[in-house]
Amino acid sequence: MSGFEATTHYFRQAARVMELSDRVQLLLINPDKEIKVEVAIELDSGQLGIFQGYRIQHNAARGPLKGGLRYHPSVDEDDVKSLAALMTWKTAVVDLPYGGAKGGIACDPASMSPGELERLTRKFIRQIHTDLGPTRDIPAPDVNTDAQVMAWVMSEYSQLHGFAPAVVTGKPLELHGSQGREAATGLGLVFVIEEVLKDLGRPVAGTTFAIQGFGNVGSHTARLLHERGAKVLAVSDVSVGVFNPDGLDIPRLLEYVRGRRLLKDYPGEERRISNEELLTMPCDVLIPAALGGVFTADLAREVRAPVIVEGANGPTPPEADAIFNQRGLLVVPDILANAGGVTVSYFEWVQNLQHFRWELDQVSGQLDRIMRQSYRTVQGLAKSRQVSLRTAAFIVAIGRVGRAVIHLGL
Amino acid sequence: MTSNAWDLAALPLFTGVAAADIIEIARLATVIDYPTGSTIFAENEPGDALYAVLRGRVEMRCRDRRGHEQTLATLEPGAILGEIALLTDEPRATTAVTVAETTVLRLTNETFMALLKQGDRAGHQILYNLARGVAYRLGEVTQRLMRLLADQSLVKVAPPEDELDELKRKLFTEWKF
Repeated sequence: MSGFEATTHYFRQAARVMELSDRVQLLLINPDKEIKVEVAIELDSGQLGIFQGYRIQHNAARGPLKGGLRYHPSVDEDDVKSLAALMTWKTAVVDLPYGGAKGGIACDPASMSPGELERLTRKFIRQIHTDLGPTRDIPAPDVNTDAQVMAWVMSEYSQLHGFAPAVVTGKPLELHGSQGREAATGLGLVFVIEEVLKDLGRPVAGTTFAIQGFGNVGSHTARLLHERGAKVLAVSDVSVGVFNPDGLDIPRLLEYVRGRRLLKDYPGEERRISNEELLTMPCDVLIPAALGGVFTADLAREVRAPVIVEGANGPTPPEADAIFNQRGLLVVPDILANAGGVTVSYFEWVQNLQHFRWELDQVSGQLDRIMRQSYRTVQGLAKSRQVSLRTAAFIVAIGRVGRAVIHLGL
Repeated sequence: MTSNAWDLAALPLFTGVAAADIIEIARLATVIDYPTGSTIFAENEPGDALYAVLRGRVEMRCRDRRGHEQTLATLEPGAILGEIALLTDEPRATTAVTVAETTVLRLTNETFMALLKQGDRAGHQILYNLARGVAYRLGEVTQRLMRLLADQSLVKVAPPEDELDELKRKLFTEWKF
């Protein structure tokens, strides 16, 4: 099942509970605008490089469009469409005044020089700049795009329209970026975990965790949980997982991966486990924070953690989701759990519009409030209507987008 | 049974072809009478001849992906069928079934190609007529495709008023939170 089908599946599941008509569902599910461009640049070799670029603007009812820009060979229209819709629901769940969008260029950044990437980025922005803008559409980092790429986006757009740092978020701290952006998704995840555990009547300290993925989301989450006294039993990267039944030495692991090294060469005594073993090991909370689609139906039957918090986007395909629900596991869905990233993106945009810089505690404090409130709203609805947290999150999102559509008029 | 040259002259395929040439072609073509419900040719058969409807009616049918037979077109006198296989060497894409007592003119591929290869004016004229027929059909298919796409397109459609009222009621009362 493709990403678009999975997003559509969860959307329809919620729409069915709300008994929305087919036409209303169509109205909400299809993108407002699809932009597709051929990005042509001169490669370092002197050859002509032509790349397919996309920007899909899903639904602008709740505000300017917001969503990442990814560089990857597998980027295609269907993928980007699904992710754009997901951004509409995600910004609505945490009640940011945004619509959803996503963009990308089908290219292999690993095989490109910084010069080529800069030319590619600038050319792409020149081609789509009339559809961007601080009150129109605001890109952000995504797969294989970082603060440097966002700086080029800002630079190119500003050359065409005048100084406009608010046209893009995830910029370097020295170039109108925000404090706390780096750890934002992990911190948001931890606030949600604290609320979940509060409902279960237990503190974070002493609770056991397994985290798949030790990149931006996984590593910050592990650090923050460790600081709060949690026992992180296992973490993994693409190469292998490391496991310690008494809890891993997270600061040491963080220090080790800072050198961009793989866990398989980690010098500690810890037991090595496969990613599959990590996902099915006994622990209190399981956090998939790597790729999408990691839970096959077979794995879903084997998961032993009673609580799953989705740090990654789309780790649970519909078939696995049905198994989790039937087994009574508590799944905190991606559109709620990992919304901390886009929330701090929103703070960056607000700071740029205000021409005023927030301190880290203001960023963290506002994120704390938004994440906890969002979880409360979704959890309350799930309880009162007897639906899963995922369906409840989609209902909250659909309700907010739908009401905005109605207030605006068709 | 040989055909009547007058029948041929009335066919759009032979518009503009000199009478002497038509008489020559009539000698090479055969005329066949079919009762209602006969299959002139069937899907996936090799295409060895081209036909023109002189009298009656012929339905062109095709199986869809689920195996259901769909009628694509009903041909009236004057229409040509089977020319695609002649031009592409592909097997028949459709089945031709008579839905009335029908008389058709049959011209084998060999005869037809020999006619064209003579390189005279008649050959050019017939080829032009054939191309025109195919072009018109392509135009019709394109229009039909556009209609289908419009029906299926996931274009945002404003729901009717009661649907909107219902949505409002749902979102502002039942699903307000």
